[in-house]
Amino acid sequence: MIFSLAVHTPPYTYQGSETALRFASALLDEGHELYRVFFYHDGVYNGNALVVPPDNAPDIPKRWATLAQSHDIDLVVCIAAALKRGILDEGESKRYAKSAADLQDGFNISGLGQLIDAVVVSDRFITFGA
Amino acid sequence: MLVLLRKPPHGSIFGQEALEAVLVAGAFEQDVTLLLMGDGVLNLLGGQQAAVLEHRDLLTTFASLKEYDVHHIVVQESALRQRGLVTTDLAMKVDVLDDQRIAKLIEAQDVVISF
Repeated sequence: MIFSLAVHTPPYTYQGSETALRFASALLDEGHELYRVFFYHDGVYNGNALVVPPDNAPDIPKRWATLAQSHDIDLVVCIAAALKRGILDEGESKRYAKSAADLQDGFNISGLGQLIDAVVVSDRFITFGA
Repeated sequence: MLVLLRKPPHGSIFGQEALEAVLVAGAFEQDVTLLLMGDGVLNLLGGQQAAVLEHRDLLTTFASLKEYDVHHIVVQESALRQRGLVTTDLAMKVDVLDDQRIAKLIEAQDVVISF
């Protein structure tokens, strides 16, 4: 079965993104396919490469990136949600003349169309909120 | 001062943050009370396994607060009852107060820090 997920929660405040990570691993272990994870609202903070996790806590952006790399999953942060929260890739950083880019490698910045596409393509679409 | 926790464990960071506020208040030799209301009482429930979620074991710290000079831990009686719990379900000894007494407890504080 083809799954896509939406993540609305930032890492380290709510359990939502860690639950989504576990769910993603579990469905892949069961032999299903994960087409896309769409990070929306505060969920875009999951794509912050500058995260420094507290002692013994998981590096959540890196975990997403590693999972995506090993299973060819499209990780998309919503561009509107990301820009206003300062999550920028190199292209957006240059476009808005900012001093740095901080999008974690393995994530892409794109629009809400990618959410709609994921819903259409997938058999199951599941949202992880607070 | 009083630290009020109304959020359950594991779903969010707020139980941990409340616990840290209590510990720091104790370290600053404040007369601090920890008050657990609503779903907050679930933080003290015995048998939790935070390690399964790769989280810090907060329960042990909650249960050993007295060693950090935090001697007043209060639980809302109606919250326990609504959740089908009794004090022996909790991992530590606590004071159980009804809502009227909790209102008085809060009123008596200089500061309430809410989570």
